[in-house]
Amino acid sequence: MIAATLIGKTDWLAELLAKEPDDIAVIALRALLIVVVGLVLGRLLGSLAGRVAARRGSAQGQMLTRRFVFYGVMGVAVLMVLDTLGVELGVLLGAAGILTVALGFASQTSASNLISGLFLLGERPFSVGDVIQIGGRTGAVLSVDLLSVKLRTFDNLFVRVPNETLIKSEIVNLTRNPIRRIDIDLRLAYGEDLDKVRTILRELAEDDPDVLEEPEPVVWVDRLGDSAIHVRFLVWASNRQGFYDVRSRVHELVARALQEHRIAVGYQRVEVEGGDAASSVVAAEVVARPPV
Amino acid sequence: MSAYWWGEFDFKPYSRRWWRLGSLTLWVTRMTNEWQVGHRWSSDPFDETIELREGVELPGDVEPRRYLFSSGGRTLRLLPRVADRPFVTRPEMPVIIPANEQATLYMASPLWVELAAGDPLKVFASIPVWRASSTWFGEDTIEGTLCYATRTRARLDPAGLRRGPRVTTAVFVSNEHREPLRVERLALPLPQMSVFRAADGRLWTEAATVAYDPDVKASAKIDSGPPREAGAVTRVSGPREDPRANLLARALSAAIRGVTG
Repeated sequence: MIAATLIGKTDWLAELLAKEPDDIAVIALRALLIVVVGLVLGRLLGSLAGRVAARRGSAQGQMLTRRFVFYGVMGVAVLMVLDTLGVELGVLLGAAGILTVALGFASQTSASNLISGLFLLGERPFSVGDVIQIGGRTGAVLSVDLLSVKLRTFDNLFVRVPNETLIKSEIVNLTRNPIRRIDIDLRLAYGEDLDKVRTILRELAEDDPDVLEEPEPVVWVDRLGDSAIHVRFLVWASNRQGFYDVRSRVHELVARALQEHRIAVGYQRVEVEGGDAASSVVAAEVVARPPV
Repeated sequence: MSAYWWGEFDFKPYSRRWWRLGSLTLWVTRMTNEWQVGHRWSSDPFDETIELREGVELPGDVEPRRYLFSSGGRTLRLLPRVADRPFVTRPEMPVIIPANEQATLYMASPLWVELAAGDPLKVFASIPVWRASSTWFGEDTIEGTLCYATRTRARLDPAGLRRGPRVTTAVFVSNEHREPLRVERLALPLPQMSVFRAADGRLWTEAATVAYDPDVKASAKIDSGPPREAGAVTRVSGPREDPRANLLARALSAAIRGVTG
């Protein structure tokens, strides 16, 4: 088949060169005209389709539609140029089929990324500007492109995530929902008055204007640990304006309130026993401050 | 000089005025082509004080903000405005309206103070007289609106309402259902309401009417003005949002939860 194409190609070239110089000029002019019209039409149709897509979807959808339409029109234009030059399209398309298979094997990753990108666009788990968490990285989405998604992390690093990875992995969109919960896990010493702690935490939530009244703040005993009572304090805040400031402030206020009211924190206790059979048992208590 | 705490005020160069509006204390200074505004809130949400003085020194712990203008006008306009988000009010005690009964509830909400200067006047700051808590108002944690929260005594008589820099809204609730209606919370779409002044100096918004019937789509609307008991009123400031927006029906109709008492 390839040999046939090559022969075909030589025939076509010989045929073209055998023509009168005037005819060659006409053919060249016609080819040029097709390219120019293709370019203009591609741009026009692309932007038109982009505008329609923008009305229905996101910025990245618009960009992709525009590109697809443009390259589609340009593809048709190229085929028309080849036809004008006398190239047998049937033969060429046959060759193109083989070439596509070869290219397909070679560019498997790119194709997979491309198709994943299309699925991502359809599913829209995030859009430009959202903050997402993927594979241990958290960052704001800068752009959603054909092959990859670009992120900017909070420490200002540029991260390129291939679309295929995004399709395969779990993505957490941190900014999609308008409100978000702040979880504060406390370890209180056994013997502390839980009612008192509950009152302190409730008052603290009530006094802060950025902590939402509804959904209501919750104080619940999570479990009874070896050395401490595990208490969870759950409050809600707006996810739109200064969520991390509120979270940090609430943590700080809780720490201060517990200190002020002398609420003891449960420490990890490890009893170490030692000594030989003859001597009495030596017991030591190791007290470790739990990580905050 | 205005007869009330709001209006247009004439400032001599480098002069300062001081307002005490409930829990908000406000310092405004006129500089050359510049206005400096400092404010702070006390911890008492029920403060009813209203005071206006000239030349009060700005305390060291209040850091003023500088607002720069291309030309220095001498007029500052200070207007009471409605809140920038809806207010969700919860009665302090449960309020139950029996079947086929109606009631008018009066609720007071904190005002916002809007400052404008320049020629023509341009709004440059909007400060609440009380920093109300935020709350979420919606069916779930995904669909809904971020609102302010307040507790109300749900007065049936406007005379008993707290005065000070507050605006009163009368809500006429009609229970058209066979079961008693328990008013758990009520969302007032304040951004779509205006502020009116009554002859006694009290500030009102338009009245609102809610008809509750779970079988029929709840109807809620903002009336064209304050209730009749407010007397003759003059409009002080307009709404922040278009009152015709769809949000209103959603906010008010979803506001009431009907519970068989």
